[in-house]
Amino acid sequence: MSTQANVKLNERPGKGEAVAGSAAEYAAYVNFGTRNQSAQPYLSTAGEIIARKAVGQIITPEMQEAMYKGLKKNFNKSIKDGVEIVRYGNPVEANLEGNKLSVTALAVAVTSQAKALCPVAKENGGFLRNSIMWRTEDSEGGLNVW
Amino acid sequence: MFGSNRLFTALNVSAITTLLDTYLTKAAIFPSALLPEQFTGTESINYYLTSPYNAAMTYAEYIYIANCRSITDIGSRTIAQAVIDINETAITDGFLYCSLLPTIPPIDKDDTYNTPVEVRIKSRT
Repeated sequence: MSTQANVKLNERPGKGEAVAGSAAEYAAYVNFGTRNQSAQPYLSTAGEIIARKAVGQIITPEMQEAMYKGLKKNFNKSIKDGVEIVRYGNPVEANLEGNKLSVTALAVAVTSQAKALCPVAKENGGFLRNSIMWRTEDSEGGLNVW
Repeated sequence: MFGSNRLFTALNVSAITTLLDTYLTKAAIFPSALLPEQFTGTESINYYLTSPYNAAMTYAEYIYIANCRSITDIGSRTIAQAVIDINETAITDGFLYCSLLPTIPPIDKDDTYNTPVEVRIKSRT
């Protein structure tokens, strides 16, 4: 049984970045085709499908939730000398957290879409599909190891 | 359909066709994900749609991948460069722009080098 697909992506993204793809040796040949084999652009198409709904369905909800949680953190109301003082959480930290969550959510979405579009070989029951994974600066997922 | 004919017109120029082999007396430019079985040449372009299409939009964006194939590494990049050079070409009711992807080596002795070029066609629907 080939273990070509049980390999993690080597690429380590930088801060605020993510990658999604497959480390299988033949991943690019399936996506772009060869002289004798039809292209089956599972990765290319997955990226485009997610990109078109990224802002409305992924980035905005993640950012909203992160901002809400972040601003609620350490929320405090007090009255001093007759003046009401309201303290919220740090909006910069909340924004950074939102960015991180958005990037991760996008990578997960692209991975899921690519897995749905990926052709499945009868011979091995889906090594290529199982090898598609995502990676951020400090987390990873999606790899289904046999 | 979906910009395929307009892309073919943009690719079917002498700067590109002189670099390609011929198939049935025409330059080897194929609007298909698979090369014809009867094609025995090595220098060719085949292109296929990779983006979803939303008919509700006023402006459509069609994204194609054009596989620039050659028996040599430098040959495939030369064809890809000629395709890139049609960047920002105006086509009927729109324009297109290109970006280059890394060259993929042959998978076996029957395969060719492939330098994919992503072509985005922006057009009024």
